[in-house]
Amino acid sequence: MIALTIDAIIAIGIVWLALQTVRGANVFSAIIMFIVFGLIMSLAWARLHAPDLALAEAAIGAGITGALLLVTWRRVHVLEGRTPQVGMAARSLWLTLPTALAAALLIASLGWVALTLPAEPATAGELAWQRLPEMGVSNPVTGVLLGFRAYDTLLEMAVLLAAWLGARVVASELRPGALPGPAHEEVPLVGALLSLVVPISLLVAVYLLQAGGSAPGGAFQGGAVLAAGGVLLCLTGRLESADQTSLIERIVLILGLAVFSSVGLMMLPLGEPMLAMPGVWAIYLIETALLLSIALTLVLLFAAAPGLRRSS
Amino acid sequence: MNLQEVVATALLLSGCFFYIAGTVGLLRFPDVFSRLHALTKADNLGLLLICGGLAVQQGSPRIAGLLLVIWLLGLLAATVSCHLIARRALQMTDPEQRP
Amino acid sequence: MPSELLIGLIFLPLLGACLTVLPWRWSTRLGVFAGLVSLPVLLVALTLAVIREGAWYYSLGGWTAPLGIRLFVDPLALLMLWMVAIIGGVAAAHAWHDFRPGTPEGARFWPLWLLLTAAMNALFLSADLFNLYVCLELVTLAAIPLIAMAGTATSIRAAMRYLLLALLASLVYLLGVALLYNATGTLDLYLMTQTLAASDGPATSLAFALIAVGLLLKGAVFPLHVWLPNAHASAPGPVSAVLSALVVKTAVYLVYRLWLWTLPAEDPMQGAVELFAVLGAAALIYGGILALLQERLKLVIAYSTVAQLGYLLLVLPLASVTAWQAASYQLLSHGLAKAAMFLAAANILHAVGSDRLADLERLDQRTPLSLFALALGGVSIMGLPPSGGFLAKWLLLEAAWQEGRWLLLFVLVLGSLLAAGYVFRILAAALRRADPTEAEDAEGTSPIGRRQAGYALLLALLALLAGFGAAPILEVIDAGAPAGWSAP
Repeated sequence: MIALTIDAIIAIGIVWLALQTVRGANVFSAIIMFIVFGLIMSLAWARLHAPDLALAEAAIGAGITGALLLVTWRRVHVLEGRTPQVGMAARSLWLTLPTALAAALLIASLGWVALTLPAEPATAGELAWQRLPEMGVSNPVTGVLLGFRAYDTLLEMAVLLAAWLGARVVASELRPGALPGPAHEEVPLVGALLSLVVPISLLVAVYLLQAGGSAPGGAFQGGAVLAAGGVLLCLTGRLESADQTSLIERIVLILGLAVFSSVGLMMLPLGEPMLAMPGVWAIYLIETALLLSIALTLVLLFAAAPGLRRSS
Repeated sequence: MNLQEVVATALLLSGCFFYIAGTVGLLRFPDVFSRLHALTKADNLGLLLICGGLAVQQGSPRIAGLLLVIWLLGLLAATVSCHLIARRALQMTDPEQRP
Repeated sequence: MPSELLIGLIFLPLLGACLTVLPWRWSTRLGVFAGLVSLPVLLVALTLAVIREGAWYYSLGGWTAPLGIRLFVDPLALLMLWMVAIIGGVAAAHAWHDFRPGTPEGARFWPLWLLLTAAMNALFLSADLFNLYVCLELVTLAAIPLIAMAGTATSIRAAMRYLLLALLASLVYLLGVALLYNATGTLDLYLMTQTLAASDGPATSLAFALIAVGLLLKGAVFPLHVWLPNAHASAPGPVSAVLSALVVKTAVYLVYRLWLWTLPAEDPMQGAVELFAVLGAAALIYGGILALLQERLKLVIAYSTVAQLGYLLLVLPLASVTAWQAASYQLLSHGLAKAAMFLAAANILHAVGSDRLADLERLDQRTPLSLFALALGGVSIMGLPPSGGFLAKWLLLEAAWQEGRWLLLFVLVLGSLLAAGYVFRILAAALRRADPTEAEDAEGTSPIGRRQAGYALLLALLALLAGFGAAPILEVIDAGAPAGWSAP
């Protein structure tokens, strides 16, 4: 009974927040609604017994994405001297009405179709549960991400690299400028906050990485938490934009993809198929490389700079 | 329901009450400073009560310790952000209208 | 041994991309060399293997489907891989001049180009629906910044629009994949056929409908084509070539795989092929008419892509060996000819400074080689003998005749007429002499490198050669025809 009430509140909340995001009077309130939407969505994932997804949604969907949206808003507001406006398309009835109708039709069909699906489908997930012990990890999400479907995760790292490369191209064309720093002299509280929170983010990131084998966690969630620490450093002016990407940064950016591919390719001369994991140590090695790449990519995307350096 | 569950439920419910009170303050108070005041005071206490309720419900010292850390981190975040918001709001208001 | 070739085709460009991120000139050269030059070498060996053994699967990680991800190679995949290697390789050689390693533009260009190559190879080899989603995302995310590298406001806006629509398409596709997984229990394209034959319901039909919408949007099929002309026209030359010749084909390739290999023949969703044919016909006519109305050379060529993709969908209801040959040959010859035309257009743009048709004149003196390449490419697009395009259209006409599809025949002829219209319009503008008394010299022309012109010509000649050397190619293609597309 209580569970049903909670689920209903979460469901209604998600829909209402989404409505508020789309109908937002201004872009800023839409962004805030979107962040809260992400947080409530992570509650929904938790209720669906997917704690890994809940962690990822909270860290990446609400956290990093929210920070990215807010810093973009601030860039447009400060550097271009104007408040971002809701686009014309969002106000035109000719576009919104058919879109809303199409979306409603889609949801209705999905709902109707979902009723015809079996409640306990016989999916490949069953096989995954059975063969999980062969992977050496007990968290099924890690088993799937880095074992059975490691190739997908590898290509996803390539997608992340492509995203940073693409951002670099567009940034070089549009030149967003330096991150708007603190406008006044700093409050002592901020220094205290940083000295506590940044080491904690490092600790939590490494813990999530290590715990990913047996409990909810993993490289993506850990990378997002580490990136959050990096974003704090950027926001408080401890890290500032550099004009060039340093060699270390370049190596760390490709580290995830390179290590993953190399470990996978290493199996071929040994007579094993590509991307067969030789042991749990391989999974942890790859996850560490992924953690570093993901964290650096996210921070660089936030700063919209080719590189970062310690501020003088 | 045994005593543990009763105490836990009571703590959780009072935590929710404080959160609701804080939100009402957020919606009803006239300016930034009083809103911040209502929000942070009520939310910190509410978070403490909720963490306490969960700790009692789980009954494990380790979980209680972790929840305490969570409350302290929440306190830290709320403190610093409240201070920064208030400072900025103060700088943005006219000198005559400052409280 | 042959399976390692598949790995090499995907991972050499991928690792090459990693190398090109490093800041040294030698690492960029090594990365590009390893990622691009190796492809034709690997493909020769792979072709011999496919001719010898037919099609086969490779399970990554040793986990067989439905648990793991499989790669699948057959003559169709081989054809697409060859196209990536040849067209991508020649376009890359063309791009080497403008995006030299060591320059900032070069440093930004080559990692993305290599990621795009790796993504396309991975897509053509993949046998897993979710893996295909990831490959589609990588193709999109690698192609979009390449468009934006042109640096103009139009290109950035076009790239942004492409990004938003492509993401929407991916989401719709993913929704379909989720439904299919739930209904059939597997993500493997080829394992799914048996499950679909047994458990067929509204869920799978909706799933296929959603996937179709996503793929049609990505493939710029009428009426979801609005993002293509600006994106392809405002991109740098080599990028336009690869976009029109290869990237849009990925979506059509997936439609083929899903409807001809995965979906059982008795499934009611097979009726969608008629809808595809109608959309293809509409694309052919609409694209052709709009190409006739454009004022800029690259826009004419881009709208021509919208039109020519229609041929690939018209083929679907015909279901015969001849139709299969026609589809494969259209894929091949359109890719070669369109890439040739875009490279030639890039040369002309560089030489003349503008690609407005009104500004082109006396190109036979100013840019003779590029004009020749443009014309040859146009010959293949029009379908004049002896080009590859002629063979494709001829086979298509034959297949339609055999099935008694008179409306289709009419549309095909109309499409060819429209193609002739816009190709001749380009050539007329290029051969125009505005002032007959003006001294006939090459003043006002920026010089194009010999090589740049040569690359465009090479692709155009290959399009022509495809018409000559058809027999061996057709033999390999026939072996890969989908089940049920038997001899007429």
